[in-house]
Amino acid sequence: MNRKAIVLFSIAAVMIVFTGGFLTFIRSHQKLTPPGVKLVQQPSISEQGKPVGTNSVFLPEQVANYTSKYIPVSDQVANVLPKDTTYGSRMYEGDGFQALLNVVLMGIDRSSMHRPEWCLPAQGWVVHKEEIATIPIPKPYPYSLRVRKLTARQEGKLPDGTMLRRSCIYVYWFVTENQFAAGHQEFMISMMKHLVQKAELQRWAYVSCYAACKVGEEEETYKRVQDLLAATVPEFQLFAGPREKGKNVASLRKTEASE
Amino acid sequence: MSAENTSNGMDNFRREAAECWRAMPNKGLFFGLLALWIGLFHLLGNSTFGYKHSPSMLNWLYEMYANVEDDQHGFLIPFVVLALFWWKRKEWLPVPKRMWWPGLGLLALASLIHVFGYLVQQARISVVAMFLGIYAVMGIVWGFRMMRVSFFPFFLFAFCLPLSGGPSDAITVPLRFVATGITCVFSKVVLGIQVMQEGTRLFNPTGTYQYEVAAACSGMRSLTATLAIAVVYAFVMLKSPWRRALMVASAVPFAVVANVFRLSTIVVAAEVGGQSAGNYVHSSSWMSMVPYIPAIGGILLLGHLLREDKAPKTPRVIEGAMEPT
Repeated sequence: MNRKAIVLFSIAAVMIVFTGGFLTFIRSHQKLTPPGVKLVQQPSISEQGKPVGTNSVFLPEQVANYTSKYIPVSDQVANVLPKDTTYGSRMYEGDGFQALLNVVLMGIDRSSMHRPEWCLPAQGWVVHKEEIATIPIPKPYPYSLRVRKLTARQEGKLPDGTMLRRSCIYVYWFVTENQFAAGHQEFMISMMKHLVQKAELQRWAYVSCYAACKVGEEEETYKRVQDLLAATVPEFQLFAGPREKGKNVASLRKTEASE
Repeated sequence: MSAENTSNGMDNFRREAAECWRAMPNKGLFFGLLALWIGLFHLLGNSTFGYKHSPSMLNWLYEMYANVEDDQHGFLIPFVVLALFWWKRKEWLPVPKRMWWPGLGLLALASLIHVFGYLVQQARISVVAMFLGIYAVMGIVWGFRMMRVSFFPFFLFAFCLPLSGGPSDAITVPLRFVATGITCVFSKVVLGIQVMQEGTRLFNPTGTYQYEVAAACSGMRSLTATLAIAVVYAFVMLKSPWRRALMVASAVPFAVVANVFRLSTIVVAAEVGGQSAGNYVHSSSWMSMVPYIPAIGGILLLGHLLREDKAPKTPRVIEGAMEPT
């Protein structure tokens, strides 16, 4: 190699090595914002009874007319998601209604925030309708929580030959220290902007509520989901949306129904 | 004779390949920089460890190509690019090759893009940076003219960017609705089959069959394949920019036609033989290749109409015409 080639190689090599060093330094000194959900110093439990992580997301055991039971973290989820993911999951029941409330909180790795558009089809659900909805939340003051609502259907044959047809309502949103997002793209764009502007990684939680029902009972089921979330969200979510001036929960519900 | 021809062909190939290798200057510099650049992406390429527990961008790409059907063409693209480089060797071999300092600027830009992609945890941004960096290394070692002449086929590496699960959703969802709608109209109006549509669901009035045009049937794969073929055809066979642009733009309607063709064959099979017949056509691997016939046929036909080496028309001879004085 001649002198010019050696100089060019050296400059390019320094550039590449410096890039690598910079990435290593930034990654190990990543600043995380506080989460938008309540944490407790109690690990989640896997299906095999083993602790997952050191903390878990707090979800109330009993709210309004609903009792609940703890749902362990599935081994598949625990193995696939990053190790610094924090979980919270409870099955709520009341008056014949059942719904699963699930919270997944990321650490420094945003791939904890997976897409329900992947999980639902993987479980045999076909999403028929996807829309933005608002859920009136009464505390700490009345506000509207923007969520994404999926209506999905599952059809199949049981081993005895009978046809199984059922629907489900799947509601989800993302929340961090001082922001909501009603979709994956929204939270990723916000995360990118915050990183560039403030050099901080927003710590997002993915909150979802899933309720199965008979075909044709989707709207009724969604109303029950709204009631459940109105009762539980103030117990575990630290961030509340902007106050709706001059409105109470009843008027928020009227607004949401008319939309 | 045929074996002899093959042997001669192989000998010619080896001889030409060796000549190309000897003609390229500063190979050590190129491969040294390439190794460093790829090494960066192997050690610090991926910053998201969910699903793919590896810091290597190469590993991330491999997992995406291997596990997502819509991105499997990523395995083929490097070979297509190399083959096209070989095919175009008479264009880039004679180009004077000199080291080019401004290539360092492009390498710096690629590094910045990777830093950004890594920090915001978007591996696809880092993939773009990786290929831009390779292009920059070519420029540093062999100069701007080499970069210009190799832009095609180098930019075909854009097809190595996995789209599924993120950016492709913006295309897949509308594609599903378009494909379902056109299939429904085509079946009713042209084929005379009474098919109903509900969102992305197709079913007949008696309910003996129904199909969901799911994401896998949206036509994303046929769009990618048709677009790649159209791009290669455009740059290999056509010269003027407007002809190339038209050929590339035609990939979208051809891909939609291909997918509608496939969905229509499923509807016809279901109309004749019920749900199971439609399922067979849907699952059959050779039947799934049939839609590419109208797509590739359309590209070839359009290419023929757009060709630039049209032979001049022979002048018409008029009987008894006087010769000019």
